[in-house]
Amino acid sequence: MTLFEQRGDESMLFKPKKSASCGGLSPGNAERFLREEFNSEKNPDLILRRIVSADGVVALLAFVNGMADERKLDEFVIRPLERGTIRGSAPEEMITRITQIAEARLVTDIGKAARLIAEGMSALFTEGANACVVFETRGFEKRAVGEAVNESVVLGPKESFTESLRTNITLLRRVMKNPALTAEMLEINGAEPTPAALVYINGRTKGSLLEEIRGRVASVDTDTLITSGIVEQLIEDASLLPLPRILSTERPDRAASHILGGSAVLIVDGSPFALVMPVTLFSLMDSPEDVYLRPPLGSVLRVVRYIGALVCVLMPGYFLALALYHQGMLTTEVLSTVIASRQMVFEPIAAEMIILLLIFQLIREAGLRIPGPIGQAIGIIGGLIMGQAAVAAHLASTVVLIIVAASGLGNFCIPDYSAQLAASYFRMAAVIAACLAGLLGVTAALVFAVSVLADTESFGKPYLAPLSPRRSRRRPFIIRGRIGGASYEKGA
Amino acid sequence: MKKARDGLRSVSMAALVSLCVCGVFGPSPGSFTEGSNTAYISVPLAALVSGAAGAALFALFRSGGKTFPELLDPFGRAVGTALALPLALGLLFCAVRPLSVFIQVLHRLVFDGAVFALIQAFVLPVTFFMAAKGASSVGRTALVLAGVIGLSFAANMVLAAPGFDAYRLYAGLGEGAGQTLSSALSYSFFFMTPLLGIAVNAGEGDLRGLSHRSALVPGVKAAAVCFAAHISTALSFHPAMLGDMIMPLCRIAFVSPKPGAIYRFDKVFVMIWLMGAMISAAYCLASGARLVSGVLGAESDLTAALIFCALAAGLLFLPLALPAGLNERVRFIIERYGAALPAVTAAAAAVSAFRERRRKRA
Amino acid sequence: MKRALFVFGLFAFGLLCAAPMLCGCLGPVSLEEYGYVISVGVDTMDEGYYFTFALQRELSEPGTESEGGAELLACRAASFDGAVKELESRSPVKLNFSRLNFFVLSRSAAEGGAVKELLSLSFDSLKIRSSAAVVVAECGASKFIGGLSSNNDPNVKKLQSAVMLDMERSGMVRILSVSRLMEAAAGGAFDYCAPLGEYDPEVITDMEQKSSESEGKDPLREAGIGAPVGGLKSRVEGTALFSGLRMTGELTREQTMYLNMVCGDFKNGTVTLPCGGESVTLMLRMKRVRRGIKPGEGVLRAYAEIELEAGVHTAPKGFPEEELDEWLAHEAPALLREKAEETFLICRGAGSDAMLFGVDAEKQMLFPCESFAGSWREAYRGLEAEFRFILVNTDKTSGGGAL
Repeated sequence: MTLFEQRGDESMLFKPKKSASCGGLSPGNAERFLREEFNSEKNPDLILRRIVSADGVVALLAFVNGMADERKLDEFVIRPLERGTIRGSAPEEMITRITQIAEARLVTDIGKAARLIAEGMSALFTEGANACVVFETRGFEKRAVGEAVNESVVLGPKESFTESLRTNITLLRRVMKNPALTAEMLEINGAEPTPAALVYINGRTKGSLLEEIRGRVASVDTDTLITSGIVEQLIEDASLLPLPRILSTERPDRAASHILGGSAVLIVDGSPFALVMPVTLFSLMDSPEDVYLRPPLGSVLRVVRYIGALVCVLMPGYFLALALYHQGMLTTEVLSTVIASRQMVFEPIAAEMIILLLIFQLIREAGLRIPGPIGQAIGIIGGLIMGQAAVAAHLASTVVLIIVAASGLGNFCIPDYSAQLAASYFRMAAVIAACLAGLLGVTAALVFAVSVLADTESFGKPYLAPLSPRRSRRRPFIIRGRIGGASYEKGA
Repeated sequence: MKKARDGLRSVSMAALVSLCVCGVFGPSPGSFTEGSNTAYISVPLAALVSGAAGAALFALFRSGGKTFPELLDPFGRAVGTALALPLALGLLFCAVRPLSVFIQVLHRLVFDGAVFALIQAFVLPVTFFMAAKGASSVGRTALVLAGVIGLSFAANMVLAAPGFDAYRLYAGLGEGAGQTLSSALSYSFFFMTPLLGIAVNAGEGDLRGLSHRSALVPGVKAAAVCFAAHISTALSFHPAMLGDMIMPLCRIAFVSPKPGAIYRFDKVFVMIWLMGAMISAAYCLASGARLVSGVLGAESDLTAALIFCALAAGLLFLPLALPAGLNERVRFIIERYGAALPAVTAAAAAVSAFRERRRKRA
Repeated sequence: MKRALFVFGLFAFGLLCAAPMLCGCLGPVSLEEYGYVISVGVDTMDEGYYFTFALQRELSEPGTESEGGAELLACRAASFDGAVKELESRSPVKLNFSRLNFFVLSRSAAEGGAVKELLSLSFDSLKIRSSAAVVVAECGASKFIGGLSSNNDPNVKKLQSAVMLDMERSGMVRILSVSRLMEAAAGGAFDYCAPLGEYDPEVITDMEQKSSESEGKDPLREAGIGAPVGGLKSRVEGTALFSGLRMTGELTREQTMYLNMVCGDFKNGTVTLPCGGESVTLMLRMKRVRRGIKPGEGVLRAYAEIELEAGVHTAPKGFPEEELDEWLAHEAPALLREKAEETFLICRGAGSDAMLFGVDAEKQMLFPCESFAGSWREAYRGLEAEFRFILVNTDKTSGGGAL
């Protein structure tokens, strides 16, 4: 298959929103159309460069200032054209014989050409041609590959995804040097059509999963600017469940490990996150760090994480249930201490718990919004000083404050940000249930939540797999299993 | 409602939880005290007998090549429905009985002075929600919670172990082996009914999995759990003390001469067992709905499930309005003779399966 | 249609969720609104009873002086419920019995059958745990409870539990719980026995020492030589024997130790026995008990064979080792047997099957189960008992010292 056939415009995955008919792709027509499209009177970004070949043929090169790499254009398009003879040449000969850019294709629709120009490519229009040649000349400024901010690890790689789709695909290919790794290009219908890549290993990922993802992506039609977060909400299984059914990760190694496990990853241009599908609750609780530690250490970390999650979700409700309904379950020491600490606190213990939980959320949100070192200081000030002041002013009691703090720490043990938020909401629901009916309320809420989760799916995969439903062969999901395959013989 | 996606595995887990819950909390402790407490013999025996009978029945149903509701079709719509009703009623009672026990315990031991209806208002909505989603969904919930429920049983018994005294068993078989066997036959109601729910929920694609193992294994496991629970009760309490108790199992830790700090978790254990009771009730209600809607040829089980939930709510609220003696009488009759209910439907289905098998071979 | 169903489903679900809230809560009471009763005492009066409740005081915040201790509430009432009502009307808190540690009965209350009053309590509605201990106080329940708490010790419940556990470890106390009491009363094959408490007013507690010092006095000089200093005024001095629901006798601490040995509840302890005009103190550790009933013609004979590991703690100086071994093998067991027989005779005389021979009779199915309790009590009056002690000399078997 020739380059032309591979990049034939009819088979292109880009589906232009509006197709223009302007009576041909001559330089004159193209110039008129493009000036109108880009509002050149007010928008000086569009550059239209006339080139005259050695045999006097006039061609028009269109690109956007700052988006295209002008040095590349100059060296590999303009100068070869000026030196070459192109009279009577077909447009594909521009690619094969004249210009020297590796990636180029023919486009017959000027509307599509306009959009590709807006993305940073360059289009060459020649007299009498039935197609224009679009060169891959993107050279805009973009963020360098940096460290993962939200998923940092001590051991293991530090790279994270960027906003560039091409860079992200490259990062994945560097991790998985597998020819079967396929980056299928899609276009998502947002306020502007946004390119995305569906990355999977051909033959390993289930066809039904890929079909499902393609179908859901194709069904997206929104006026919102497309980012990974928006796409996540639009293609997820419709439900009111706050827990995410798509894993959003900024680490190429984490995305790659899921791809190797048979998942598919959707990368959206302009977003530094990859969307992994399908996902289970247990994969949300996995941290990238686990794999880079020895199995016993990784297992201990995981168990601690699960304990933290349980403490986050259940401890405030459990304590409140005991304080309001089941005082006999508390030891005499705890009872005496709590009573003494609440002597002058004016609000009921339930209200105190809820208010402290809300304040904790406020401090957390404030810490996120305030930049840099000041954010850390706010966290410390909010946590320590406010807490101390609240106790001294008899607005809160020490025991309840400790419980809220412990619950907050448990919340931070959950690696996924969306799951953290979901856990904090369920914590509040458990607290309200405990106010209403003590341990009975907490039990009912827990059974309800488990029942809903047991029935939830993520792209056809049960959300609580492999715990429910059980498979005859299942990999360890809390305790970290050994990494198999390596055999080392001493003395060999 | 979604179909049973994962075949019999999920449903079997829900059935196992139901068997254990019905076996441990179904028989009333007052019935143990006829001479002596032989529940640790009669209840596990009932489980084993039910498991064996279920194994034979399941093999027969499988050879018939039809689902359980379809097996009642040859009797005609009216007669088939009439034959399905006893099992449906049995499932309804098995759903209600453990819930009723727990609600009484919560009212008496936990929420002193609270109105019954308030306690029910927290238990029933979640149970009905699960029932409306279907037995396989209940099964997936059971897969998550079964481990916790089992651990809490074991922990309670371990805590109570220092207080066990074998002399409390030495009233022996009380009124004799005949009484014990008769009790075992009666208690088989609490095992046979949920066990038949597995057959009821087996769809066409699941028939191959409906082997003798799918009845025998839950029966044996339930027998083990019930034996452990009832022997713990028998070793902890003199039979004469059981008459006033609703749920002696939750108090066995207090008999221990050296209760540590963890014995305060009695109410936590009750709540965890309540989860099991809710799962059991949801499973029984969903199975009853599946049976009735299958026999009537309905597309969806949801309507039948809602009706069953309404009936269950009625059965839980109604005794509050009736004299206590009448409630006791009804409960006694069902406990004593209720084994006939699943037997009637199972026999009809077995006859139909047998005929179907002969027809295929002919 | 789908949307309508969805909206309906959402509405129904919302109603289900709102139903609990609309119905109202289940009567929550915040924990600081309760007063937690850790001990209840019952004394008899001419009419009715005198009830004493000890409440745990809350501990103050860290950094301030510890308060803690117990607050005593007492009143006269005809019944327990009446006492609770009156005390709640006088107190700013509602009484909560879920932390109850001790039921203390005065001797007169125990002899007069106040146990029946105790058993008539609805333990479920009061949320009294059946693991609460029952104690009989020679001095009176109110005094005993007062002496078993210390204002200088913030956690009274811990203090009380520690006292009882300590006594139990000594092997000279038998702990009785409410559940065991109820079992015996329900027709169990035994009689229960409870710790017997006493109150010594001469003991100078740490609180009294402190107040003396604050007044500039020397408490030891004030008390004089020989006065008991330190510790609590209340202690457990023996065991109260019950026959049915009434107290009918008592045992000393030493006799209780033999009772524990026969029942198999003895772990380790010390005894001092006469040996050739002097005395030898032995350290004993329970090894095994074999017991049962030998049904004879007309007379029932109970037997108990108790095997103990014995080590000599103190022996007379210059006593030959061989003679000591001989004494340990023959005479010491005989002395122990005499003590056990003496204890049994006291129990039988009080009509109390404290040695639990009824349990053995039930295990051996000697009586028809429906009439067991009555038949056994009849037979117990004429029961004979044989005791045999086997002492294993651990000084010989331990293998000597280290190399």
